[in-house]
Amino acid sequence: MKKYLLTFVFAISVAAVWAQARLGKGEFRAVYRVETVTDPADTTSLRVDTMYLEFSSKHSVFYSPTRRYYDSLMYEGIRRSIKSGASFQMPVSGEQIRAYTSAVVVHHYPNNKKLTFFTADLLGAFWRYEEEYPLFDWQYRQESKKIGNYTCQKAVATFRGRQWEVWYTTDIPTPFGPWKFYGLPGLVVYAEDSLRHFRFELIGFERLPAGYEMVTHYDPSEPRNFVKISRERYLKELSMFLEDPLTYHVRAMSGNSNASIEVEGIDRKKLNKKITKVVSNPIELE
Amino acid sequence: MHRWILLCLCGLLAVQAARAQAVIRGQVTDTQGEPLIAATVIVYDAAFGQIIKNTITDEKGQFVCSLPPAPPDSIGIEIRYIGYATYREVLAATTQRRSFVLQESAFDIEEVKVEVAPVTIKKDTVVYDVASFASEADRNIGEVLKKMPGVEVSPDGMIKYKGMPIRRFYIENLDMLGQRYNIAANNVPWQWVEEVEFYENHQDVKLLDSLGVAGGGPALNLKLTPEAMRHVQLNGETGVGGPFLLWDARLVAVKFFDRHQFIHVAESNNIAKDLEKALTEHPLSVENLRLRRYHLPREDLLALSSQAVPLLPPERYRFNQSASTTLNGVSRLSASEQLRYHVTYLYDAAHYDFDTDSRFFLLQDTFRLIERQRVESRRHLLQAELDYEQNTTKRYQRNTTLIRAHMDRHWGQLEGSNQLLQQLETPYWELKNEYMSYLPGQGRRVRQWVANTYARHLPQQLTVSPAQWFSAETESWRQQASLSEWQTLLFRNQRGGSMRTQWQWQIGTDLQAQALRQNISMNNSLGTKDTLSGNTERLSAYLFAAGEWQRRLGGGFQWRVEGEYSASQHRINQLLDFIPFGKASSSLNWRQGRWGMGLSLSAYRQPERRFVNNRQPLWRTYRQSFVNGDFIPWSQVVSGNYTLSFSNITGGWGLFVSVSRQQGEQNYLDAFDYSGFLETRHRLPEPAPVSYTMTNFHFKKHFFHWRTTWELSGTSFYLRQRMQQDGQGFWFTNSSYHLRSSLSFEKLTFFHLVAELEARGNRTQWGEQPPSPMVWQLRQRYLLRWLPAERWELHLQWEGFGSFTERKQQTIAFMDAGVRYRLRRMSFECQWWNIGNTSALELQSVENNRRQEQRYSLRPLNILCKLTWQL
Repeated sequence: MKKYLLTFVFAISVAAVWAQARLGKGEFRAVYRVETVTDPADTTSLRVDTMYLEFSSKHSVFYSPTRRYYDSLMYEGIRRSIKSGASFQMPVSGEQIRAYTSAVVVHHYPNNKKLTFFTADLLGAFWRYEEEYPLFDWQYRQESKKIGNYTCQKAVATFRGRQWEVWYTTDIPTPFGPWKFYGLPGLVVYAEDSLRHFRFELIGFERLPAGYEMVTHYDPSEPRNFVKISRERYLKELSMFLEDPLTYHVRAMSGNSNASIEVEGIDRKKLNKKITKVVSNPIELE
Repeated sequence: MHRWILLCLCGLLAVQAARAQAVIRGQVTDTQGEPLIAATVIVYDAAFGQIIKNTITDEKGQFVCSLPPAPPDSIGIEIRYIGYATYREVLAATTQRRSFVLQESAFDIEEVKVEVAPVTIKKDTVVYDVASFASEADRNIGEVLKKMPGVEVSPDGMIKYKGMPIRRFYIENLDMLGQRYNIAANNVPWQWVEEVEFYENHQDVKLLDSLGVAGGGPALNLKLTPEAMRHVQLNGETGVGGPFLLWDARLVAVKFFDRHQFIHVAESNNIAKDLEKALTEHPLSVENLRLRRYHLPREDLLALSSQAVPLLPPERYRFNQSASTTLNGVSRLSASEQLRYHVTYLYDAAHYDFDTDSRFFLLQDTFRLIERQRVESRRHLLQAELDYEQNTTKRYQRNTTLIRAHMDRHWGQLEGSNQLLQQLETPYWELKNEYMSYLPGQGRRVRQWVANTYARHLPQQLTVSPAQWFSAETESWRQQASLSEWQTLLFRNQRGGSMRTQWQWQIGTDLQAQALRQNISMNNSLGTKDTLSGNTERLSAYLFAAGEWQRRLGGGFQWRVEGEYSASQHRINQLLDFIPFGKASSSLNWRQGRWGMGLSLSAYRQPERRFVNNRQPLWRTYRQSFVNGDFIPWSQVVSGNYTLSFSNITGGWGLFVSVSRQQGEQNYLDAFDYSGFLETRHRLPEPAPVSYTMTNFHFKKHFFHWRTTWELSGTSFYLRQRMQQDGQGFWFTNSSYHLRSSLSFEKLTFFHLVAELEARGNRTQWGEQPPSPMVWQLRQRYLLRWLPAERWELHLQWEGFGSFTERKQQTIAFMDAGVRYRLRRMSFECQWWNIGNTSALELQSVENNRRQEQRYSLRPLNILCKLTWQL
């Protein structure tokens, strides 16, 4: 029974993700291949994602299109079942959905000059925090090289415990970059940390169709329900989640900070590893 | 004086301070004076080499750029904005306010199409991006799999990865089809599949996986596109053509949801497409064979005359009417339980026509027969399977039940030296239940229970009516053979060990009961009946114990030792017989990076599973049906096996070589007696030496940049066996070779080329007689695909076939063409086969002591127009 309950709460946790903000017309989409080492002790534990960076002159949004698509399937499924009164059947499994990060990074310029980070990767909770620029103290190097068709320049920065080497191109002048990268004179083409745990690689660039509207999340009608917290609080939540994801999940879902969960017939260690896969190796170490 | 110096110093410092605080303020507008928001402003040194600072314009197009302390005398300023020409100017590095006007640019920003890596390796999962290997002309995922490096698809559809057959074929991690995965490979369009994943050393039992027990082979998973998983999909094909009425129709309904998947295929054709091929059950893995989880394939007791098979696709010479419907599905009952079902009905009617000129080489003599044969068959197959699986880290259990019924009828008509009409009925009933469970024991130990039961019944009958027969008084002849068989296997397996060392032992029993009834009755013109009958009843009980130990050594080596002893008691027609069997083997495997090597040596004495083996041609051997079944046939053999593999999947390379050699003896001798045209075959209980050597290799190179795949594979086989004819012993040898090479070039979007070359050679030697002439068959195929416009596809195929001996050469060629017009969810096509209308194929072949020349009737010029649609 608990297993069923567990599946159910996972379903709900995904279902509640849909809340979004409109970001106006988008102009361009950069497609990144993002490689992440999920277990720092095992450099072969590689996760590969395709991520989109959509931007205009005022906003950018960086997200996983597959995760957004799965969210849309869930949303439409639930909406149909509410409408018809039929029981809701998950069109994709929680495991499939959780294989893709729900983290969304939105940059705002010139009005707010900050970024907003949304996440539902800590199962059961929906957090959002903001950070003001400047975040990166870019050191420009005179080195340049050709990556694909782009002539790229090198910049380096140390950011929250990781040393980043970034190659950007001034051919695409935008301050926005993938993840929290911001403030370079051109689009990031390649970025890698010195431990080689994270790698961002530009694999495609296209103009968005006329009238394309950028949004943070799929659902165009729901009010925002990501709880705004500080980054410090988020880091605390993250460490609690990594320590015991199942208990964190149940507490977040029930709102009861003393709730606990016992599961039978499931290898909890393995399940924990699966659930925390997308955040197990934090990109920010401080 | 001091005051002056102080004043000068202060002045200098003030100047320095003013320079340090140099601020450039500016506004960026277009030629209309409209501010450009978020334009990038970069401050370089005067040579535009080193970036000093950068900033962005605000909502009014304004920017403020404070230069760092001690800037150079002059700076270069660069302003960029998408859609506008880059602005560059060298300025003095002083505080100033400027306006910058950017000119619109005629050049738009260059778009870059996403290019996904064709192969990605994530730990022990290798992911192939389907779009990187597929072309518009490919119809299904099976065709795309053939091009992937490291993957081998045999002509019957079996998929091998790095030389090993796959254990499971998953679709979104659900195993819907079991070993019948051809159904998915042939019917899932490649456009629905985003990625193909191969799991190396896949362990499908979660309990064993949690204990770190590696699996025995690779598994495949199709990762579908979100669109394919969203709805129930319906695909269809309808084609009609001539001459007379040709048809080819297919309907496919699929649902690939998370908890429930099904695939339903209904198809019918008379254009010689083999529908049974889609239902092929691929052989089980080596591990299952070792665990005795297998049953015998269907083997008929009686058969019509065997024919040589040309190295041509059956579509060239087969005349058929076929229909089939198959429903397969899997339901996830809970997170750990699933239920799989399979129901199939198949109808197949076919005929072949050929003229035969045969020469028989006997020890003292040769003779020749010239005949015209027509073989017709009508077959029905009905089968249903239900499979339940529970898979958790605490327990695994699986039960599979299968019911299968064949109702087959064959007719053979022979004209020439003999004139005969044969009618053969080969019904076949089978019931199978396989149960297996794994339970955890103490520590890292696992208990396994297996209980398998197989029952089959084959009441088969052959009736021969000679219209003209050398033995003139015989009017008709009827042969009946019926076999009922029951087998129950029950054993317990226990395994344990550490991460480095693993062991398992097995103890169990195998009970078999077989009843074979044979009867021949002949009516002669004198009005009397000549009858011959024989019954063989056999009860066998085997008790076996087996053990296996394997250890991971350093440097990538793994050593395995296994042994088995089995005591068997048999009761054959009241006679009791006790026979011990045994096996000992040791193997050493090495794997380092891309290279792998294996060496194994084994010695065994084992029973042959079947004691009835009389599938011999009956045209001329009408009294040969009695094979001596009064003893248990076994063989004792020493065998060596060597394998070598190299795979560099990301580089596109794959190579697999295996050499096997067996030498030993069997406890029976195949004996032939000839009396005129009459051939009688026996199986005598006398020891006879036997040996064979087999070499297999498969090489594949995929050139990613050129989208080109080159494949080369080959087999050589040499058999030497002691036989007997008319009481005189002799050696029989057979050598055969098979080589195949194919090249597929798809670099250009408008032009594709597929070239195939295949050769097969065979030679036999019968006693001291000179060896039969080497018979070679050679086939070449060239397919050109031209895609002149986005929706159009034209193809032209040339296929050449040759049959060569020292004495005679025969070659023919076929030309086919097709045109296809594609819409988004629909396509129209017309196909022409055998444009030259070649009507017959002459084929030479060698089998045992017989060399044949056969003249096949071929399918004439066929035209078919087809509509393919997708809902």
